[in-house]
Amino acid sequence: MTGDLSKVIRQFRQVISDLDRAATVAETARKHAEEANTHYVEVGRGTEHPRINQARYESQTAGQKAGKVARLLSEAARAFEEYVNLIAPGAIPRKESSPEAAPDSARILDTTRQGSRSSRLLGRVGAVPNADDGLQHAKKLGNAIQDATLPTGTATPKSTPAFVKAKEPQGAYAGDILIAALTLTIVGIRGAELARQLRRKTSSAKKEKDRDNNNGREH
Amino acid sequence: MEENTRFLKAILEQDWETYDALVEEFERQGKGTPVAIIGFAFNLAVKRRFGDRRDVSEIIRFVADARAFLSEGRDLPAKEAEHLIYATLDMDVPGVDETIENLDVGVIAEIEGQLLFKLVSDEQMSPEQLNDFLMEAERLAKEWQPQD
Repeated sequence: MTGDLSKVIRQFRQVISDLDRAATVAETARKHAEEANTHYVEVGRGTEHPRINQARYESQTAGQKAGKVARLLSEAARAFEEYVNLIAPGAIPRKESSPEAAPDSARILDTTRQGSRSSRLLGRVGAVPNADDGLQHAKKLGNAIQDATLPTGTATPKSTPAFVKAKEPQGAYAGDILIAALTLTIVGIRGAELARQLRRKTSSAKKEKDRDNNNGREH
Repeated sequence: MEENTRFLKAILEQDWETYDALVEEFERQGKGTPVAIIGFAFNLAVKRRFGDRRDVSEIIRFVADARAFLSEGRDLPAKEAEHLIYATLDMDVPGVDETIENLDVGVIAEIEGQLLFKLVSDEQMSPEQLNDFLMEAERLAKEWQPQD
């Protein structure tokens, strides 16, 4: 390593160290704000006085903001680390970063402490509330799950939690045979979507019919 | 709960009437696939599932199960699915960075969404638990967004 590069690395180390210290301070502030919020909630129980509500709200906000500041500072330090290791591989071992620098206000955001791969992935998807894809991928996702779980689907769920509807037994609906035939004859995604909609309509119609029959028996 | 989160919730709950209505609404607004909320919910669910475990064979088995569970894996590419989990768990597996970099965010959402369905199904969450889980993911996604 040349003298000039060593000097640059030293300066980067100082910056990284300062950022980590600042992140630690912010993280400590977050912990204190959260503790304060707990106390305000405790002492304010049974009262809706505006001042108590204000204290509760502001201490909660302070904790959230401090957590975010800590995370951003920690991310900045990691970004510098990556850059330095790019220009001088191994110059800054990951373990040099202070372990308490990364905030734990949200465990999902904790990843910057362990490495940057997860945070890079979150950074990519987190920056895109909605893709510019005309909903194409969301529809494919919806279709995959419908195919797996609606009657005549291709897969059998191994478990049926409360919100995962179990598939009806094969042949539960006579209309399925017709729809399956339609699916075979209508080629392409649009055809599959049409068949899927038909299947759902058939399912709804059968439920309505069952309901009507039950009502009829009751009268 | 935000519209993007409700969209994901409708898929996970298989509430296809709500899903259809939201598809129509999204199309009217010109909104695409809700990438961020799927990404954060996926991240949260993967960490709940695997915790501190970093076992490649366990992840391979999970993806294989997910492929069998969902459309016989027709729309769930094994390598990409495994690599998204490795990346989420910060595992140092060769080729992960390249795979992720080459994936479009829409494709990432599509794959993560399918894996997420398997993850929440395996957890056997009640509707209330699913609601809380999605609200947590929404909160984290908001916190991640740059604010003014």
